[in-house]
Amino acid sequence: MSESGRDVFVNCPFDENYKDIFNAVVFTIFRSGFVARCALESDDAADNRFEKICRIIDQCRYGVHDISRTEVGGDPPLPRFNMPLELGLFLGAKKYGGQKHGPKSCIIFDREPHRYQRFISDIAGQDIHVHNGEPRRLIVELATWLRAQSRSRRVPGGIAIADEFDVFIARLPQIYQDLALEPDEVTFGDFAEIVVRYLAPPQ
Amino acid sequence: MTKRQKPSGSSAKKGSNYTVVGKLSDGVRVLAPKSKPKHFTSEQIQSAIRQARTAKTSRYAEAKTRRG
Repeated sequence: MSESGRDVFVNCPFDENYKDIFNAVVFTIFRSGFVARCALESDDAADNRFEKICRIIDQCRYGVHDISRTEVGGDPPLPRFNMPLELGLFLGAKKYGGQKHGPKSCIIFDREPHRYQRFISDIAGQDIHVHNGEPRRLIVELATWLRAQSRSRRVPGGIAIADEFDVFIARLPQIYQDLALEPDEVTFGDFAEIVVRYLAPPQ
Repeated sequence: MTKRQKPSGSSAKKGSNYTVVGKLSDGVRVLAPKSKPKHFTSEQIQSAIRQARTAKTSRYAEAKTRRG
């Protein structure tokens, strides 16, 4: 596969409780030779969020969608539907986007098998992957899928990447400390740069 | 198999629409993010990573040890 069309749209929750899985997604994408993109990559307040998401989807051949946080919450209890909306945008681009977007491909995660059928049954027939909230399980599933997309045997298997991720996560607090940075101050741009420089340091 | 990196980094190469930051021993090319770090330069991040790596063996060997 040539080095074109390697952008991967990450459609996942950004909250603190999801951070371990989000970090695992970003690490796996870069480790597999792709580029992670998401709505957090620009914090330009003048940039309309929906337009920003549309622009990123337009530029991404691949998508990682996690609908595991589609659940009721708040008062009154209502579901958050940003992830299903962005999944719909991605699938719509593929369906109606002509030759440019026809090759789009995505992987969809939920936390339990068949749970999606209770709130977004129209995507039945898609291959929904389950991570059970476990970063290692997600990495194995995602790495296997990325390896297939890349059609390259050079991309390592998910267990090897999960092992590397465990060590990276163990070192991350030290890296943040050296940068005098609290974890909740880390931007997506900071984290992506840390991942890339960790994977491919200058010798 | 231990994954070790080949020389890379400051000699990042341009390829198609992507900047190749480095090539790993298994042949995977690590591509540069499209977004820039907000708080730090790449050099500062590299320095912090170097310190965190001190006295460590390969990532895979460490993880294997941790898993027992």
